[in-house]
Amino acid sequence: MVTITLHGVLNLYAPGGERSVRIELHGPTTAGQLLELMGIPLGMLSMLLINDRRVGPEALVSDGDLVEAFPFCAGGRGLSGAEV
Amino acid sequence: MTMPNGYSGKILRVDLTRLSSEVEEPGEIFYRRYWGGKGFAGHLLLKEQSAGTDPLSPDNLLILATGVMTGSNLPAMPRFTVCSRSPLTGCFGESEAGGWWGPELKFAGFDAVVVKGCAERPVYLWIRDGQVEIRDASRIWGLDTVDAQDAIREELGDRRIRVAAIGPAGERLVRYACILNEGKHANGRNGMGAVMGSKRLKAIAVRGTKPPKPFDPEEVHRLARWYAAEYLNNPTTRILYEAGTPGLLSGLQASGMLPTRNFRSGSFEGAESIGWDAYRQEIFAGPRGCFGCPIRCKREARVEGRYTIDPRYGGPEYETLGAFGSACAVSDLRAIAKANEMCNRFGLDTISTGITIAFAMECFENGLLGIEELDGIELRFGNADAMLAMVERIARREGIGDLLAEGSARAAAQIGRGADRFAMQVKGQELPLHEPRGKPAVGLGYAVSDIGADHLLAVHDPGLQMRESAILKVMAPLGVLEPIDTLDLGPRKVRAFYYAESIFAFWKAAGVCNFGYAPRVAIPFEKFISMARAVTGWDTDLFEISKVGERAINMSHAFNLREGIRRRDDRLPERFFEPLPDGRLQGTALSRQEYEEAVTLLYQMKGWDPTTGFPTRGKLAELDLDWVADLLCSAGVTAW
Repeated sequence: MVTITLHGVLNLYAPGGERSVRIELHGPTTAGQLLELMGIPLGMLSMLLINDRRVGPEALVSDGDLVEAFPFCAGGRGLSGAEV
Repeated sequence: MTMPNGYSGKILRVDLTRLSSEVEEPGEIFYRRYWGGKGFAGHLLLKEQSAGTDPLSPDNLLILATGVMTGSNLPAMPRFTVCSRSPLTGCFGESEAGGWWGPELKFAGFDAVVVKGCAERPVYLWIRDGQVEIRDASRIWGLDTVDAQDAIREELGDRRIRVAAIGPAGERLVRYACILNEGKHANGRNGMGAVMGSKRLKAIAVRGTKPPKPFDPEEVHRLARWYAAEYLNNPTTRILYEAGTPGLLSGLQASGMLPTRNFRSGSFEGAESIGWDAYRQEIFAGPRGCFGCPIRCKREARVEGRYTIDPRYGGPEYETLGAFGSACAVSDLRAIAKANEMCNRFGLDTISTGITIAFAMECFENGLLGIEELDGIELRFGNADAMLAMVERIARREGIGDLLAEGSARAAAQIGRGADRFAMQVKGQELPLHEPRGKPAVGLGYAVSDIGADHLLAVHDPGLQMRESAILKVMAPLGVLEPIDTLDLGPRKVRAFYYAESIFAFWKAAGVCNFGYAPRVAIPFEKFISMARAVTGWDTDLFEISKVGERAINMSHAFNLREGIRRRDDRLPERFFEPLPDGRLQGTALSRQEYEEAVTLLYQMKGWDPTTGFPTRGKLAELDLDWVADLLCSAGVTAW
């Protein structure tokens, strides 16, 4: 199970407008695939974090991860400033 | 002479001292060189106005100019610019607005109105299908902006008249008074309403029935239909329709870059109460747009009870939510909507008003303003009623309002004792609600902007950060091909800023809203170029429009050089070189060395001397502005 949090206006793209959802993983999945599954256009992103580390949409997610997505008008770095 | 397409070819000149008017037809080359707005004004202010003209004197020209695209039945092209020497900054003054006034002026047969002199008694201008009348405004002087508009419509017997009016703040020469059309579309910044007030010009009413013909009406129609079908599929424009600018707030909060408590912090504990989710549930009364634009990014609002608002004045935009919300630490959305209504009613710029009040709050909390000086009002951060009391006092210049009506820089100078460290301003103009420590290129723009702090100079940094970004993709024709970190202020960011700045300046010339096209949203340049060709018949391209923008920037820059403005004035408040204390950007500060190097690099890219700011003669000649070099020389500004 991973938790996905949509910051700013990104939740408006999700069909139900949810800001945070939990999703069961079935096999290797990237952060980008998860977001597209939720209807979030990747072109709207400025930043993706997995457990507060900055990643690209090709990053694989694992059970227990927190994925955070930020819209293109905002988003700089994670609290720790870490990148992978 | 060929018939103009998209514009009327006529500029109206009005002299309020002599109560006379005349019409000028400057010819196609003038239009194609400048495209309107900021470009027209730069030319006129340099050629016709002397250095050192008092902004509130009869000699200061007031220029209201559309662009060649304004009112062309294509999306996001409703805009016009008001320019003058600014009473807030002493620099080139400029402020754009949407709404309906710009298109209506064009339909009435004029591309611009240039006003000089000062009337003996209050007047308003009445422009109808090529005819001009200077009418007595004694009866409407003192009225709020929409009441003045309604009174003029009633007097002239036509509800379809469009009115650009000042309110009591402009009449009282508040240095950041604005001009409003339809009560909610503001030429907000730089105090253009005070210039109008100094001329005793209450309003300009226009009614026109003859839109200029586009070069290719069928192509214009086809492109307008394409846009109308596209904008809801395109995520960048769709989101403006869905959430308007208030949609920005929660993302900035989550990123730790929401200006809070006069920019002391980037994280506001009350953000959830003033973001779009709350707005939509509590006060939203529907979307509203400008002439010919399907995006309808503006918000109508309805509030009843303690902070009842008159809905004719619209709902707060993001900048207003930030200025009266997080910057003043007020988390009551209804009180912020009330502040917005009061500013639009009185004719005050919401950004400068909110940030000047936030400045006064910080002065109060640090003992620089006592409760006696504040007319007994406890002006603490978070005190919504105190904030609203200040708005009214500023508009009427009552008590402490008389000092705050001068703007935070002048107020700080008068208060003394280090108050200037709390004045969040550049060149005298208060900062918009974007945190330079989180958006360093926006901070660079604040500093170098000819009109004082302005957030509409270039792309905001986060849009360039990810390879997948739709904004980065539309920047490709400018040669910006690779992602650039949000917090980076190195050469690649400066280059992206430099290229985008010319495009944003072009929009300010041509009458185009940056919410409609690249690089603010992902509607590609090629689509806009097709539109420009269809309207004007000119064989134009991205190179030409970017040079038109750069030309406009160099003229406003030359105006400032003539007024003694130098690189030393491109100065951000010290606060931004100190680390943010909390939020996701905790510990982040601008590096002074990196910032200074960025300014130097930008000057070099622009062909400006990095020490003095003088453009090289070659740069001016390249922009077809060799006459500006001669003008600066004869004004004794420099010698090449």
